[in-house]
Amino acid sequence: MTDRRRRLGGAVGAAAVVLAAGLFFAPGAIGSVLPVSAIARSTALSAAAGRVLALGCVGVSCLLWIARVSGDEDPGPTLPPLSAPTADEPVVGGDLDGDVEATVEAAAAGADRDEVRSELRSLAVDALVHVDGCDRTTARRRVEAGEWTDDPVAAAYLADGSTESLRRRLAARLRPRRTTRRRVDRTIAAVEALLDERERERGR
Amino acid sequence: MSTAPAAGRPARTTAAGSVAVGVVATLGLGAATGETAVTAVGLAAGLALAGATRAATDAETALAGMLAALGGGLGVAGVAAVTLARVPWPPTLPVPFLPAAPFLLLLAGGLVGFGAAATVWHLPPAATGRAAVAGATVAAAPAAAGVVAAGGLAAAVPVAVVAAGLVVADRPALDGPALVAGAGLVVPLAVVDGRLATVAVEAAADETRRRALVDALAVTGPLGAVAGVVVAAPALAAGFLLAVRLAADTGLLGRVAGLQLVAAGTFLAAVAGGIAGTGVVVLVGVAAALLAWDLGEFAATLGREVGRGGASRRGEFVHVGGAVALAAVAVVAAVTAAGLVRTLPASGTPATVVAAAAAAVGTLLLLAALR
Amino acid sequence: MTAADAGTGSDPGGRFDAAAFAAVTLLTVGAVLGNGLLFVAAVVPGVYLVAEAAASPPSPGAVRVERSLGSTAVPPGRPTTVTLTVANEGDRPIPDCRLVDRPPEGATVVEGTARGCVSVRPGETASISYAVVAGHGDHEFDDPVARFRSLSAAGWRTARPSVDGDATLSCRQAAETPAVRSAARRRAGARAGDSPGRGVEFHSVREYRRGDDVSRVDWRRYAKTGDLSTVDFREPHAAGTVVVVDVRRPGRVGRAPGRPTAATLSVDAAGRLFERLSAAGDRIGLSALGVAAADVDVPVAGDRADRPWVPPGDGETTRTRTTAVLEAAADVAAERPSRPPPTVGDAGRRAPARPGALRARLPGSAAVVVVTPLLDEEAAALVETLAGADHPVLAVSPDVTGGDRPGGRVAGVERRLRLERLRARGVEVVDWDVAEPLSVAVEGSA
Repeated sequence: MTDRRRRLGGAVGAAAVVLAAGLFFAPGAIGSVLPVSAIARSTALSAAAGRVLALGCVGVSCLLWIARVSGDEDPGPTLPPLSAPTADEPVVGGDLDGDVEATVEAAAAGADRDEVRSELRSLAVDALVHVDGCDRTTARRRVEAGEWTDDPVAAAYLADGSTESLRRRLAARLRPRRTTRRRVDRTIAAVEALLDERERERGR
Repeated sequence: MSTAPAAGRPARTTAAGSVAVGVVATLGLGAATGETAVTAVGLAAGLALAGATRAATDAETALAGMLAALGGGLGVAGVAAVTLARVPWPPTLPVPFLPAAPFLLLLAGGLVGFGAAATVWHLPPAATGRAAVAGATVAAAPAAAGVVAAGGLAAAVPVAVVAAGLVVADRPALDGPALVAGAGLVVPLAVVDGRLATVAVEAAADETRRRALVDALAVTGPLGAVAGVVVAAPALAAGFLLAVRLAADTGLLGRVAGLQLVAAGTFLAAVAGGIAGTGVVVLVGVAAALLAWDLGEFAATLGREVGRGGASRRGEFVHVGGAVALAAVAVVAAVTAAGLVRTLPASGTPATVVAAAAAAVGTLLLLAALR
Repeated sequence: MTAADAGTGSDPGGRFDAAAFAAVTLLTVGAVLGNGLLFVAAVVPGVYLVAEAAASPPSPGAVRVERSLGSTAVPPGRPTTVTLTVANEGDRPIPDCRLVDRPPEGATVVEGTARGCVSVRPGETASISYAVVAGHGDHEFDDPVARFRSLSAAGWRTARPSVDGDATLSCRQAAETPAVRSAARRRAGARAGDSPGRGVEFHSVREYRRGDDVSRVDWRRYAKTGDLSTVDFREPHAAGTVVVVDVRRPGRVGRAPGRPTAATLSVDAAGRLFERLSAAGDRIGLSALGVAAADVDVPVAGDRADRPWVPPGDGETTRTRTTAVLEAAADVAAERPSRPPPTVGDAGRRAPARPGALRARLPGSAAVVVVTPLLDEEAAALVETLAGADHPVLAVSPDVTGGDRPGGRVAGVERRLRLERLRARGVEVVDWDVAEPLSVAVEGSA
């Protein structure tokens, strides 16, 4: 069905092109066969609106035809698909990653659930005990008071009760996912910085 | 570490080449047409709308809405600039027929800017719907304020009823931050609306137009008029974003929508250049659009079949070389053809008119049949 | 060569539909507006259409593909490189050949991808390479799939070229025979000035580098040279050395999906330690935490916690048993639990290290080398207990933590704290950054 229409269209198109060529190079010969001036005077060609309408219709129907045909081409045999690495394979610290994702999604949904803060708090306490040699109670108090790092984001995240500035709270509202991820990243980086500093001091 | 699989992303080098060709060609065509500023504004608007889409995929609705409003605002500004350069202020009906090229270039810039950013950020076209909704949410408060300002207490009641109905019916879809951001826009508008109205009235070109503007302001009130202009921005943005979404849903845009939009925008810019009569540059522009498309398609299939991790540098360079050569051949052929056509008698004899029509229809039918 | 032709085709909705689209649009707009230049501009997409019709993808018959493995026999968990070389033996250039190798099911690609896009002139060759890690057993590679395109890349032809060269990767614990540089084998005490009781000293050459990324892991170099980080034993130990390899559950995680687990790396390190130390004439024993003695293929003794125990020795029996225990450990190490173990808290209760059971078996003054990823408290406690019982203890710890994920970084901080704690108690710890291979040197033997 499609093939017949296609062949018909092709034949008409070829005939029209041949006609055009004939008119350009031998207008006299064609003129004796076809009423050229009558065709030129017909509304579809002489009136601007008619010309626009006629040519526009042909053009748009061609475009639609191409759009239709291009969709149902057979893609043929495919290459083996690119497979993403199996995500369910356990990786080191995978459970914490899951907690971070859950917290990020909760923040995006406007909920106030945080499954990471307590874990990071105990991590910071452990690191502080190791670095400063203080006891756990002191370390815990310092973390809760936000007095363990120079990073205001990390300090505010682990502190007891929000000590965040209005600007930061607004940012958290506007960009919930990014802000949550950033807090976690900055906090881990602050703990790593504690250990790095200690290592540098000992190296000296 | 982002766990988003790189599988299926277009190959990096070739995709970058495609985007670069599109951006440079579009700006060049804009410059050749004498509309560099409009094209650049379109590009910026496209970038802002892509940013809105990106923010929407990250659940940052307020940001998405504001960026959509910004993109739409740039679009509105572009349209206004093009119009006011040719029509005295304030435009009154009937508006005279305006040249199409600057508007097409604005749209072309928008498509290229959006497509370029969408390629870099790998935005799914489906996400544009969310950005459009965010833009509409931001517009809600100014729209309500405008209606109330124009209609007084009589309008306030239905607005309140509609708002209450929305809250009850569609609670989860209402996004607090975006609504609040929109409400935040109302405050400065309410402060400056009177002054803006005065400036607008004083800028009128003649007395008749001034009276028409004053009459219009009397109906809407200054706040209503300003809010209307502000609402037009997210509306335009939503229109653009939803059109992209529609094109994707109907299958016009494939997996690499961004690259397709870049090529389409470049093509549109070339057509605009042709309409404005910029000369041979148009042929180069069309070739650049097809080159961008060629590279984009190559990047897409390569990304799908080999992926970004695979070694493909040499294969990419070879194809880029071949594609540039093909584009150059096409330009040479088209310039030659244009030269030949110019030597033909440009007359309105019945024979040539019929011949031109027959050639056009015949070629169209042949092309369609060959597909 | 024989090539199974799997068909030809073109990309759906490809770029040449776009050319037709552009041509029709230009013709229509040009004709409607009476704009001659736009009308003529349709020649540009016309050239693209002609180019499409004229081009044909190159024939797959002109191609010869060869696969070579860096090593066809490696211990489980050791990466090996795979190189796929395409030679164009025809007289037409092949501008675009996309090659997809199909590594065995049981193997994981750890560096690069098993794919590539090459461009080969007649008489030239091009290659793609990647690295795989596989578990215990023989692994068969499938024939690759190749897709050929012309320069315009419009249509393609897909083929399954048959492959010359290596097709099987064999993973066995005893696969690697160490190059024993035989020299004067000396027992501890032969050199004057050695402190009694502490006949063994260890030190590592390479320092830990924090924040090393997965992408930096140079497996190819590892597979090729197998030599970078060094555990240096000054002397073999008089009372023998016991290698304790920790493959308990907390260690059965990798740095990223598809990467070898920390436990697998521990087994690999233990294997190297065993080979080098026994080559140096030391008497070696072995224990594997997290393995059941009953799971070992040859009969071995067990400790109180039913873990395999090979007493220090240097005979053939010791070697056979040790190899069998390491094989069993490698199998266990590759078994990933369906749920990742917790990084903090109750990990210890789930996977007890039971140092008491081990101590009951250890000869009084034997040196102990504990190979553990130190991913849980129990592991650190075990090392502390052994050190407290006056055994000379060295801990060798593969580091799979770090990367960009918060979980990996937190695990990294926790591991660092454990490591510092051990060092503070005077235990020597080799922090093996797995980005660099571990090598073991015994000074007395070299």
